[in-house]
Amino acid sequence: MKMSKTPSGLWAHLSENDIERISNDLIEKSIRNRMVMEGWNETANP
Amino acid sequence: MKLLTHNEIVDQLKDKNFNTLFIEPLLADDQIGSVSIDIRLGYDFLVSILTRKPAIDPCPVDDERKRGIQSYFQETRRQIGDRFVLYPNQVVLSTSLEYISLPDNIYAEITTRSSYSRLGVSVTTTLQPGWRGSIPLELFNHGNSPVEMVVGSRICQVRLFQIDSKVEYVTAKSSRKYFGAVRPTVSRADKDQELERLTRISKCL
Repeated sequence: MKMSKTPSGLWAHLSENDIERISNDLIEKSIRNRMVMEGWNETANP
Repeated sequence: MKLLTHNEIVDQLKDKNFNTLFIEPLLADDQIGSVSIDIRLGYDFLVSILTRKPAIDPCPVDDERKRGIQSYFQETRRQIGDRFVLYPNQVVLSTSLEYISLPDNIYAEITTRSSYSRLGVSVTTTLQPGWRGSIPLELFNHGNSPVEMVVGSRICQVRLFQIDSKVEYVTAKSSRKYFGAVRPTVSRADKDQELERLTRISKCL
């Protein structure tokens, strides 16, 4: 993923390594969240 | 300072502006109570383990003795619905299942739900306005018996307090050690810049 060289807002004061680590974790978390929601909906009826 | 009620929480969640409350996944509508939101146990755990070193030293005097705090914890992951056994007197770091983003004028207090307090399980933490991430849960079993925790179960609740002024969470002076964390993170007490100074003072006095 290409990142802006001038991060802004909440990201402005974080190091490049931290931004990369947090971004990767957030992507994985969003995928797992989707999987959890799908599993929850599929098991609504016993 | 004002405690948010059910309708105010729902309004915040419906608002799609950047600076409003965001929680995902919110699996059941009834997680939102009259003045709180039930929070679920996440799937990542850092379990405290005994090592050959007698104590965790966040500021070792001798560099050769330096050992990362991470080495005192073992990482493990479960699936939703799996069990995790919390043993008496054991510290386990976990997170909420939910990812939470707080606006810059709301802070959160997290406490154990009564059903789990009665088993001896304790969780207490505070999130500052502007927090982003999964809620860090430092689990501790005060009881005499191991407790089986179900991943995804509602173990604690969050109460949201609106304050009059806005707070800047991440600044140049304070970049925040745990910002954006979605998995359990060991203590970063060793990153406290005052520790080295305090060590120097102890040698002068």
